[in-house]
Amino acid sequence: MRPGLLLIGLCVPLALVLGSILLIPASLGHLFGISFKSWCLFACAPATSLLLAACAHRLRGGEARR
Amino acid sequence: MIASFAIVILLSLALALASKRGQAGHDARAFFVASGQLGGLLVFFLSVGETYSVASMLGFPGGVYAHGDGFSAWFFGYILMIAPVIFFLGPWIARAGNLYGCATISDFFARHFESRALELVVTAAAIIVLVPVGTMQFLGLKIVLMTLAPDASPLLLITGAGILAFFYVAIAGLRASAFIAVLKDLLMIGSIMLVSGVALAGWQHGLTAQPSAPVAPMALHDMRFAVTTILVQSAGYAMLPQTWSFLFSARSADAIRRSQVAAPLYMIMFPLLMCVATYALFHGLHPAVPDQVFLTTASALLPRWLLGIVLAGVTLAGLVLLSTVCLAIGSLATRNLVRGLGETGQTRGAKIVTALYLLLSIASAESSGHLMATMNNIIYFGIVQTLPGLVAALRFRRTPAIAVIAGIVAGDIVALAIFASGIDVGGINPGLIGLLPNVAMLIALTALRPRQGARTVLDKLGDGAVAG
Repeated sequence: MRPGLLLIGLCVPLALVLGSILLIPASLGHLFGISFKSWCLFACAPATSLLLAACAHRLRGGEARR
Repeated sequence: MIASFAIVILLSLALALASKRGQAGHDARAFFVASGQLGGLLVFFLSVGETYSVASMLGFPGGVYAHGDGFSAWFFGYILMIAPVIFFLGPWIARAGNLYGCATISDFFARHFESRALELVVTAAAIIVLVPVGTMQFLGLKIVLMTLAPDASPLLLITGAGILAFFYVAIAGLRASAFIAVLKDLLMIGSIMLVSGVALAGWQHGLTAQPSAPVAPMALHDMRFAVTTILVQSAGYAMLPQTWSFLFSARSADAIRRSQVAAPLYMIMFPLLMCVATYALFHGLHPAVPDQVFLTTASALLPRWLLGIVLAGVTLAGLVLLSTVCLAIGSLATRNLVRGLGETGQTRGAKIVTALYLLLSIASAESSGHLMATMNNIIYFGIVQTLPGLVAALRFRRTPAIAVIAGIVAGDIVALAIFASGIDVGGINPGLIGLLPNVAMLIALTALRPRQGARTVLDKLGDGAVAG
């Protein structure tokens, strides 16, 4: 597997999730009763989708070239 | 309410019947994995249909209602990480399935390692993993159907749900599940958006108000639990028997990748479900049990006919997962546990196994269900022990079947011993600890008894170094 794609598609999403859980304090405030920490975690989902879309685009390009 | 519920359920049956059209063949592989002919859209719906069940829809807001939003960290984290794991690993599993003509995870291990013993070990592990899933779905369905008909007998209601799940399986196998999953997911996400939208529109407290309980910082123990559970469960999900079924059903690797690009967007349901739980907390709604919080809020905010549609959506969420699990367990029993059945024998046998499995799950849900709830905890750290064997099959040609068997057995024993004895391992997921002796056994036995003349899956696919 290409290390660059694994980094973008697997390691970066994992780092985002773990960063949201471990680094953001729980006391930053709330919106609709939900902590800012949780909102940051939820924001990881569209970010992961974008990163995977970039990987899929690269893979399709690579397959087309082959 | 009952009329709108019934219309949706009849529509699901019509979809199951419609799915028979366009079926490619009538062999066992067509029944169990739709002959690997599903396109990106159906693979996406089947994928999210298996990920988000009645347990997610009721259990997640219930957990937030009971324990606050700290509960969401590991749960959301592991479900999100499933997408990248399947994105990279899924296409290889699908290609390996095509290479060996597989319909189950056990088919793959048996054919690659040429070992009946390994086939039986993986089949046993897979069946043990699937047994509690049915009970969990029926426990959730009981809550939903009691909201629909509070005066009816719970046993009668969940038996009716079981009969419906059986029909879905019997009509067209996995193809029917995929078609119904489209309806289920549209209803499920629509219901969540509707209930949360009405709740947010009627929000009567300050937008930045916080729950009355103080927010405690995450203890080191909890952090270790969250991080290791995210790793174990997202990897373990890739090894679930029903995950392999949906991967084998995909028409191409690109269909799997596209489905996983879209899968995280579906997770918008989690903040919305959390809003529903916090709405109930802030606005004085008191469900009888925390898992009822979504339905209690929906009952308070929606007209009766709309509530019927929401209940139908939640019911289908349980039934779609039940039908895919029935197919997974049926295929394991008729292809791997018992050998020598013909194509017709396998599909007929799978229907009998499905009926027995549904009866067992209903009986278990009607009893306390505590044993199954405990078993549910071991699903992921049990099944993740098959992952090193998959990696070995993909990359290492010298790994023998005995090394994979010893690794799975050692990993499962260690993980189960830690779980059952309650030994404090500092919050680390027992599955991760179990992987250590598992990999050690795999390496040691590969060194002692290397397999001769074998090739890896990547070698056989003729491409040993490309990305998945």
